[in-house]
Amino acid sequence: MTGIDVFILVGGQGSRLSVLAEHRAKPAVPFAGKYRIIDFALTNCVYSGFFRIYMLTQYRPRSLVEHVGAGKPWDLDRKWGGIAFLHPYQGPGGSSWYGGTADALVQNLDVLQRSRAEEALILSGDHVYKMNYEWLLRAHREGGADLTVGVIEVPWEFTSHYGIASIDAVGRITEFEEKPAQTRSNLASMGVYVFRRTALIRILQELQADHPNLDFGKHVLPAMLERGPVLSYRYGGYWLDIGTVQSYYDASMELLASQPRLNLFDDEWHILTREHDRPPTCIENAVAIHESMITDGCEIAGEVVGSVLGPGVVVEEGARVEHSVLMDDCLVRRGALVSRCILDKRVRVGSKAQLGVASDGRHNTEQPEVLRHGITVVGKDARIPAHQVVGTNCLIDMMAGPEDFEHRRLQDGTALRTQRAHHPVR
Amino acid sequence: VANSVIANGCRVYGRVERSILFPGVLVGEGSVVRDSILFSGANVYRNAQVLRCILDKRVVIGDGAVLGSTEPLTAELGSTPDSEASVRTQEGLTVVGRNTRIPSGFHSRRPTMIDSYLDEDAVRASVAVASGDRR
Repeated sequence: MTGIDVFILVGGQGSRLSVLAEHRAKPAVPFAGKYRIIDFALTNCVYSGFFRIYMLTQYRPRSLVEHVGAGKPWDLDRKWGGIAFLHPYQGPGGSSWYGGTADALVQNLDVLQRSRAEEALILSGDHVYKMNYEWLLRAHREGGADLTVGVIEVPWEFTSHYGIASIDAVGRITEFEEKPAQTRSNLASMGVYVFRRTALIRILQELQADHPNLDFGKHVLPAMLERGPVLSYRYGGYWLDIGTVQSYYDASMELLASQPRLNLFDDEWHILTREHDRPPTCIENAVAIHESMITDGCEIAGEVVGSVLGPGVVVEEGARVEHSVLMDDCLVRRGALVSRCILDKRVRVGSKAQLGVASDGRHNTEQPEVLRHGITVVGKDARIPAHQVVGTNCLIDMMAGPEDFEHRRLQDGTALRTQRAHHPVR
Repeated sequence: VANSVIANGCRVYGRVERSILFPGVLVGEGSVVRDSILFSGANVYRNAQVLRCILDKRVVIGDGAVLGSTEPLTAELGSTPDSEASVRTQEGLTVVGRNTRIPSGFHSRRPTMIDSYLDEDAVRASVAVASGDRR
């Protein structure tokens, strides 16, 4: 067996994840307390027995590169195969950014060409799911097509968010539309493609001249459909594209259900991640903790209800954290309230501050489409001063400090931006 | 949950007080774990009570079982050390060896030491043995 080459697209900008994905690529966004979104795809790969993985980066890769490193947590730090990062680069012919998902591969055609693998598996690093790709590969080989696409049923009201495939009785894709306004199918492409490697090289070479922004969903799939049969592989498990602040929040809260669709406690499929060696969580005095997921190294003396706490979070006495997501090392001081918030890493909430207290429920002024359902998002390293009140649908920039808060109360829908957070990008 | 140290992968649906939970411990709905130490992978099912116990790895406590007591030691609870095993448990601790499965509804409030690798029947068969003895 010549193995299979995996290409994970991790370069996308998650602009609808607001401040959570401004300073990091979307796959590097922390999720479910101790994981990053990329962990799910990487875990799937190694549990499927695929150990040659290329990561195509672009947007703010530092955090992702730091997390994945040489791939040790996934046993990918190996001599043959393992993890390789394919960053956009300068070459003798000039240099350019990856114009689209497929253009990223066009610019690394030499990697595809020198490979000896029969197939190339293309994945997105943005998705949360547990899938054994071996079954997909088997279906692809039995089907004999040049391309097999992983598809999943989505609710009809959301079909316009996805690439939608119509299939015939034997699972052949008859039509593919990217984000259609109206459609007759509710089978969405999962962004999981198995190509016959030579067919992929051929189609990329054919299309590249006309499409500097070559995209799998927009260009490559329709072109493959014109050239020959394309098969679908229907996946029946949990799959989630964490695209927006709301879907991130909802997915986090769903983990707290008694039977969550995403079971992290499955002994056959523990998600692998880069762990920090932290002490166990310490719970002091009689406090109430209900329906919550709490990671290592937390110290809790206050109240935690319906929340997901990352490693090292401290909730002091008399503080209350409810229906919120707190990433690594957040600190909630005495008597503070954090309600329906997402706090990025190392946010510090001063004593008796109140976050997520509604007034008129106005949508966010800067990101009205993203922050409209009452969630307040705070960027990493922000410091909320004591006694500060912050409304709903607010956005607080990373590294914001007490000097940035002009009023005791931040009205609903406020976007608090600071200069500090944004390095000059020329 | 109060005054406890809890490691990763634990699922707590019941109450935990003054206890130390190693990784992957399950405390089911309605159960109480108090003044106890539960090693990795110990499973306390529903409505059970684990009081002043040390449960070794992968011990299973069946539904509604009651193990140990947090009451002060009395003659009734067997405070007189009368065997080698009870010398070790005279502080009122109940110790359960690894992989042992305590059956549903099992009651043992006295300090006890229960051997490793016992299944439900083996534990039940030893109910009659006096407290403090090695079961």
